[in-house]
Amino acid sequence: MLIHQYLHQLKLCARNRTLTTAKSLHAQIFKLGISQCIPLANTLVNVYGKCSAASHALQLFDEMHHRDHIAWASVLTALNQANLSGKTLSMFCSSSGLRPDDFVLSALVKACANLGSIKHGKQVHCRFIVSEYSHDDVVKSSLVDMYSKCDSPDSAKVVFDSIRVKSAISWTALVSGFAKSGRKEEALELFRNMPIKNLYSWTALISGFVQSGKGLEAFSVFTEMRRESVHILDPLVLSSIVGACANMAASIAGRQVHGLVISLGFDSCLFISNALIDMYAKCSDVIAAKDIFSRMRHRDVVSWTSLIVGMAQHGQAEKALALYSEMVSHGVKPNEVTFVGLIYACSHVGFVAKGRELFQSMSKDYGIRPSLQHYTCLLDLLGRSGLIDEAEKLIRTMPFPPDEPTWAALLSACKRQGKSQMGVRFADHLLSCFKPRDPSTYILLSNVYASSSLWGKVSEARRKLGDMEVRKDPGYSSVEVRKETEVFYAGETSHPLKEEIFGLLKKLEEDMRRRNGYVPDTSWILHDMDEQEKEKLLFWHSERSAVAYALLKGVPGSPIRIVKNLRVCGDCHVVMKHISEITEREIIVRDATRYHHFKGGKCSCNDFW
Amino acid sequence: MDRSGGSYSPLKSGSNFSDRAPTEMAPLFPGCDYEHWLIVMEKPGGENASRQQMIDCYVQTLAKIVGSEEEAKRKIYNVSCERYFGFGCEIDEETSNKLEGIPGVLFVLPDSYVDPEYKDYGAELFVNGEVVPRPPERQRKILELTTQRSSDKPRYNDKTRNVRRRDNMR
Repeated sequence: MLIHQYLHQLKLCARNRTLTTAKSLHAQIFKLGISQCIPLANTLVNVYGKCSAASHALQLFDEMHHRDHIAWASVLTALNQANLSGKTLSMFCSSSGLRPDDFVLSALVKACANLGSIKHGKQVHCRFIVSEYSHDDVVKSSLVDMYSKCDSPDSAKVVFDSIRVKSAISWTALVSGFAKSGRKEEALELFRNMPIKNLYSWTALISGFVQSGKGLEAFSVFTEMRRESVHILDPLVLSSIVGACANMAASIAGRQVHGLVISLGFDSCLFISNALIDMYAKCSDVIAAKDIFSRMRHRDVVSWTSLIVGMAQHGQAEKALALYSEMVSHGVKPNEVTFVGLIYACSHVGFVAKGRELFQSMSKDYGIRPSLQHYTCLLDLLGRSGLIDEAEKLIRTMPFPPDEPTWAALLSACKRQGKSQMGVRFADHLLSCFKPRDPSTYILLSNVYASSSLWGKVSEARRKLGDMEVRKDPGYSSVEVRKETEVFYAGETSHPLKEEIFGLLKKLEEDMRRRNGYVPDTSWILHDMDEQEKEKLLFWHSERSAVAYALLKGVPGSPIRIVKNLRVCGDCHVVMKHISEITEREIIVRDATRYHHFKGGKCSCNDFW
Repeated sequence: MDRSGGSYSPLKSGSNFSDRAPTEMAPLFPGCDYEHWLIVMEKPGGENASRQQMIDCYVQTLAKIVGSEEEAKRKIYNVSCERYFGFGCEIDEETSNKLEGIPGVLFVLPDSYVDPEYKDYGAELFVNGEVVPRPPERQRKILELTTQRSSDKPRYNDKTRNVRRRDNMR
């Protein structure tokens, strides 16, 4: 074959991604001794890159006697495509004086985008502006994408405005950037102004909103998308919406989306199944999560981990550990998140030895460095089991500065174990070194000082709570009843069924006092008021109104699912246990930190905070 | 296990994967020392501004941050009024951040050499408030390094680029 024929064949391989054909052509070219012919060599590097054979591309590149801009652009692009963008940048650094052309600039910008490194991105941007390519729309489009991915949508917009012919890709990148930064009005406005919208634009908007916590907006856009009959050829948007359901513990919506996934034929898609497992777990339906898991034909570490974490969070520690054994026997390597779930599980059932063993195994067997979360779980475990001295040693030797929740966990353990002196010491440290942000931390501090009769410090803790800027989110609880979700705020409700709710709660309280000897624990209210007012405040905590409503209006016998934005207070926790026993109903509460399954007077969290 | 800081919480959905932070690396281009900054501006001096008006605008902009026009003139090392509108100034990173919010400033970017041999940041040299020409040989080199050469080596006929463009239009 003549050289131009080889070139033609190779270009076909690039287009069709046929690696084997490319390799055999390469072999012929090599044997003919023409593999150093520049256009051929360049094309080969390009083909290997497009066929995702980055190592071949690299090797070829290394052997080239003469490397021009095209060779460089091809090899850098190949590295980007192989997710080796760190190598893209380091290779370029070692290129000793290569002046980047528009293709190389584009590849460099993409590498920065992949790495999320705005620092390097700006360096390349500067180079671009002073270069002769500064009007290139393709590089500009990559810059829009890079700034968007690096959470700088304003810079992205400036570059975008300078593009002469704005492609759908750059529009989408811009919309995505604003959505991911939570700037919903701007994202929506840009989206409406897009001349052509396709599935990718809709997906970018929706998943951007999900990522920035704007689940409701994501839903509303998704509903609109369905109404406009946008063909869902790529299921990424579905997994985003499932993620939104998971974040909001919206089991009703979640089930509907699951139905859609099945009817559109994506139920065998791995990452969607993983998202569904996670969603059901977060909606406290571990049975459904397990169901999806068992029906998957192919599973990866994410599938196993999602289920393990789900079980761990719902008090099914032994099942979680058993599942882990199964996972290992299947040859699947656990990741960081798996271990967070496992140690968390151990801490709930006091499996100290197992927890320690897992912590060691993480680094020893799998080379995973423990993060702050892992240390915190281990501390929880030690604290709960009364090994406070060991816990203190750990907190002082761990490679991360312990944060507020870590100290609070230790403090809580001290209080529970009656180690008042130690507790006071930790409390002092916590108060002096941190400006605690969680009100429950102040309650904890106050109680620790109170149990040592350090009234001066009790006042100090209460004062600091008062000084804290007024919390913007009041406590609220949402409850799913039949097809609707009701939201109740703390304080006397103005709901139409107020009378019935009040009546039911009063009656339940009487039952509790009579049968279980319940007495409201007003130490959970730090504000200065008399006992009666404190009791009233507790009475109207939002989760109680939510439960009462569900008991009145929900399907009899069904589990009651509540989501609260703050931590459940100690008194409500006790009340929930009693209610679950008296009414013989299962109550599931997801609060800011964990899940509580109340059944028959007990809670799955084993009285954890 | 509340992570109010926003890092991983088992209760927060999202990816189950450990995120890899980019490895800290040296700057990509010679001369990039984070003490030299390119400030790109929009319509400096207004519509149809003259060269001098643009340069005055650059000086005034930097003066807002460094305190006086004299100081600004000392710090600015190059200006551009043609291909792009902006100036290079020698300030530290903290000062550069303050320029971001100023009206008319589009970008604040870390500058690097156009001509590494002479450690030259390109554009028109600006010394103590005056545009200063380069020695002709160096000027020729700078021009060569920043102009699109039509008589380049035969351009690789990469049709995939056009395909990309066509895809965008659809």
